[in-house]
Amino acid sequence: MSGAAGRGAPARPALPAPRPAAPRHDDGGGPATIHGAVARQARLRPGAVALIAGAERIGYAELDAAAEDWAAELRARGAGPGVFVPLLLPRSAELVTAALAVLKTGAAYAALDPAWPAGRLTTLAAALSPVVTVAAAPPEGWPGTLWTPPPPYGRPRGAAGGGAAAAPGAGSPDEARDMPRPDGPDGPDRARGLSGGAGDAPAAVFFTSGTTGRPKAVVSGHRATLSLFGGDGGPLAGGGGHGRTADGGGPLGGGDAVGGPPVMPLASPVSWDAFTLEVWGPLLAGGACVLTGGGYLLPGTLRALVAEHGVDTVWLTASLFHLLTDEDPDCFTGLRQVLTGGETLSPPRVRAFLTRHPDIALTNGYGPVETCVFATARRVRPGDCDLPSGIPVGAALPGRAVHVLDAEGRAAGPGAVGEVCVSGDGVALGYLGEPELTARQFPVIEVAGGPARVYRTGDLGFLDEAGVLHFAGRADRQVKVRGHRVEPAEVETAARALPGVADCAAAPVPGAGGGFERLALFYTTAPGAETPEPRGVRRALAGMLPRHLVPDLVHRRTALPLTANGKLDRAALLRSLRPGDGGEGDV
Amino acid sequence: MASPQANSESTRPAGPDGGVPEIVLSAVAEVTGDGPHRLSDDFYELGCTSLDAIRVCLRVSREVGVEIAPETLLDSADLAGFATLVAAARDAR
Repeated sequence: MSGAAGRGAPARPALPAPRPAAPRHDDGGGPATIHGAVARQARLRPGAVALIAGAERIGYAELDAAAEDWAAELRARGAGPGVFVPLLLPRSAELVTAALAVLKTGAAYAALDPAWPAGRLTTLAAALSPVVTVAAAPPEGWPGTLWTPPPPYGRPRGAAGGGAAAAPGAGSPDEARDMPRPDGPDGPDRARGLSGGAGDAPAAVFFTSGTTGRPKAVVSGHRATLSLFGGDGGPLAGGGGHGRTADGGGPLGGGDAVGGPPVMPLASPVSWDAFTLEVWGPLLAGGACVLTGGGYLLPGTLRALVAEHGVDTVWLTASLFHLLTDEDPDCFTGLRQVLTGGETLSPPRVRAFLTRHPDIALTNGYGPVETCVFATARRVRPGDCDLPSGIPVGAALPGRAVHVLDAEGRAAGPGAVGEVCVSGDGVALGYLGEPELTARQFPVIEVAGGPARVYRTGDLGFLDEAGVLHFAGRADRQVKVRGHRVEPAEVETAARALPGVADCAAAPVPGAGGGFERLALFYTTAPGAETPEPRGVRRALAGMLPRHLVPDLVHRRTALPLTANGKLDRAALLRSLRPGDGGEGDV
Repeated sequence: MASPQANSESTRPAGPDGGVPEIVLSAVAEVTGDGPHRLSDDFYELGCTSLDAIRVCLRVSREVGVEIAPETLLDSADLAGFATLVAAARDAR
């Protein structure tokens, strides 16, 4: 995480030269896969705690061995290179073990939220064409084989190939077990051109809102995650003798503080790419991941995590960060670092936090899921709260570069707003099953230093004289609502499909502090047809869409207002909301 | 369940429910910046979100002295149902 140097750091050059699109070779000696890096930690510190789940403490060697056993089960059921394995599990030690096991087979995992409506889950399953799914109780008619992980964690490890890692220094043949990197899909060609082109196999799939009414499946490779945490896949911050540098080894740099590897809770929805940060962040550094179980991250939860499990690092989407600073600002006490972002940060809340907690590193991270958690990060300082453009989103992280392009595709000068494009190791392999969309959103373009494969974020921003990125809005209708990415068109497509709905418009409702906490839907009904009530529309959508896409406010209108140009007048729709519906008075 | 006549009340009447409905209505009004609401109101139809549920439950928890999870509110059919669960949690303490 750059920017953490604070005092007296030399001015950074405007941009590091981005890497060309040609395949890179890996740094000498470092693991090339996520599971290889975790296995390395299991060799270095087999008895160290990797997972904390309630009263259970699961060590690195134990975790790695269990994942080996589970990998054998999954291989026997068809998991391997080119395959995508859905995980339908709540936040738990089983979920983390299953993800690691899937990686060990050479397949990629897709963590799905078991709370999503059955219809939604089934749609996602179709996109993944699963041969095997790790689940306790999937919806009816789920395709492929099901495998339920054995209860409870810590069963005797007698299975073949399993127990070698029990004793410290017992050379477990993890190198041999490291799946060979495919040059192309060896198994069924489900990866459809997304695997192994540069020796980088798919590791994870994340679903995100799409404009067509179908979600997009983002395929992220191993290298994206490994590079986020320090390049060689090894310790990030403080663990194993690698101290945190002023530049940080990645987003978990924590500034000037030197300490052990991070202890983080897995507290975000399992389908978010925050999973990468909250699980692999600690595990690649020899730290610990705390499984909080179900539920929201409340102030009391955070206090208990700090007091009982030594949690020192947490990720919170900006909405939740704002809520906690409003409701119980002391709940952060004991943390070393708070990572936040994903939405616009509220300067007054940030200022209040920095004043109350001068010893906690506050990091603002920016990056769509297509760039693997973060493309840039900013160690926030009090002066950031006074900037007219808001809290900066920071400088590019190691292995990543950002480019702001004008309408002609050329680099915009300092201060000039353009489209934010991201290149480097974090860029996703593409969208599953969408070759044309992938080609459009991940073009190879000419930047200083040569051609580079970039992700076109659709975000608007500008780079300042120091090369620090500032967010300046969107070019399209995509928004973040409570931290969730929402394409209003996806909501509209679903609503238009309901019987009796003639037309509709979805609009995010601005809240205090610059973000959006809720989504409004306005709809008209076909004359003479049944006239669905708002309550019924909302219920129907709740049965089809994940919670964050279900509009919080649903209003029927006789007609949708148009501007003088004949375009839909969303501003007028928002103005028509009663105060207290979430207009100006919204908190 | 107590009658929902206490919309304009600011003090807690001594009734068998120990004022829980009033605590709930007061918390919801504070969070939505709106009101008065009714116990028959559906939390979602008030336009409330999961974050609002967290805010409401933090206030209710403080008042009744027992931690109430946001899921309790999100899974209730209406505010009356939520108030019933809150009263039960408090009585079980």
